[in-house]
Amino acid sequence: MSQDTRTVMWKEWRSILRSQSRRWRVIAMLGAPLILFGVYVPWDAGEYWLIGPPPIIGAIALAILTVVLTIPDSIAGERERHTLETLLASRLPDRAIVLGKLGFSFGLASMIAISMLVLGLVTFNLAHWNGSVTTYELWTGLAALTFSILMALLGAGVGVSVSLRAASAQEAQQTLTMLMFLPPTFLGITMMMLGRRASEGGGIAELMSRWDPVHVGIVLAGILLIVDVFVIVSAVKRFERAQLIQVV
Amino acid sequence: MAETAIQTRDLTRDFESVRALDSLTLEIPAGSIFGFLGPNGAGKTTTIRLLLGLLSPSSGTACVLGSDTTVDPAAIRQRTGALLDHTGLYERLTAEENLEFYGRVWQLDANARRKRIQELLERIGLWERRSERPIEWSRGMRQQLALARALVHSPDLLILDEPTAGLDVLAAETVRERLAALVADRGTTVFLTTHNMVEAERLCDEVAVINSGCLLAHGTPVQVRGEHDDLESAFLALVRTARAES
Repeated sequence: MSQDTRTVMWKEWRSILRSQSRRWRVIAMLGAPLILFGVYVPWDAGEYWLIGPPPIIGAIALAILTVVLTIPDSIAGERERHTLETLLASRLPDRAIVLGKLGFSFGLASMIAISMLVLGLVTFNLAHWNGSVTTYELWTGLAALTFSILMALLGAGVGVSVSLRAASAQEAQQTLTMLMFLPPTFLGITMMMLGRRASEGGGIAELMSRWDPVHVGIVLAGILLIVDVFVIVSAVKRFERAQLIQVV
Repeated sequence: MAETAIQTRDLTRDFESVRALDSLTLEIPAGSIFGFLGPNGAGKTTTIRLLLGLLSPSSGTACVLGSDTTVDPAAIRQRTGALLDHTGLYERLTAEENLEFYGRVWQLDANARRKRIQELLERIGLWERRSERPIEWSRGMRQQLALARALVHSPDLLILDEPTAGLDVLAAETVRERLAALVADRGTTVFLTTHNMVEAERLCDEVAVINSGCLLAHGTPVQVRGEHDDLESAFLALVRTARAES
């Protein structure tokens, strides 16, 4: 099984490398946020970059963006380009195909999120050199790493399910973008508003202001992990030849 | 008596209220070329999908290379090469990478894979163009490459959905020669669908005619032709009679 999964990942990787138009599109779409969060913000924010939410937001955004760019293309796109049926007619087990596609997308998303964090750190040290290498504050670094990986996993799992239902890769990409970016955006806005109200005092907002962010982070990561497991298992179960062939 | 490569018994497949295949009973000997003939929408592609275990039958059974399609479809796909109605070639990969990927899929080791890819590409005269992407090629060349891909693991059964459709006379003849050589050299069984009656008559050991999911005739091309001048006239007569009766 693992060899089959690696084979599918090999093909996905080659497809990105070989597709000139696609390669430039991916570079352009990921390059801008990578420069924004990996160079501009650490340069501009100073110490806040090492302790505040920007690296967490940046890592999550890049991870999701990578998944949105890769998973729909690799499933709905493969169906659109009429290569999926031939793949399904091969000896590869369903599970190896879907895990290979998931693994590639998730692996690339994690790699890019980690690259951004490293780039941000290098930029910060170059811009604000104080005689020794400074690293992220422990919980900030851990949160950026953990949440970007968990969100990449979530995006990949949701991406499979969305791609199986979508009529085209473009439709899958739009739906996945909406599903992955809207909830965190609303959550972020709500948290900001609650934070403002907390400073004014009163109600739920005041209660929330007393929460330890580390504990909140651990609880959120735990919940996200459970959701990830559920989403991935469900995506793997849905990826069945008999189901896929009906819509090929 | 020759070993049987494909055996179906009352194989039926319904898509909701539509019966795509109706009680198909066939026996195809190993090492033969079998032509499955029928107009568009007759049930040929559904039959291929059932034989490959990609779809489950609504009723009836199909046994391919000794394995039941519902019990062990993986064993069937392991020993089968398929060229379906689209070439299934990856436009972003080079010709060599397309074969490399399917060589990996069939777990050929690196050395065997390299040799096999070179052998197949040389045989179709595309070795020098292995670094090109097939999207830039003619349909005939792409079809040849797709056929090479289906053969990368030296399958015992080759399933081809209209392998010469859209090809010029020369390219189609090359494909036919390759198929005939394949059966003669390796004893591979070939199951192909075609609209080209002349091709079926020349190439196939046995043919079957299907219309609206129902088998109309099965036998050697001479048997199916019967008193008609050629297979095409026999085919037209069979299909028209079936349509008039339904």
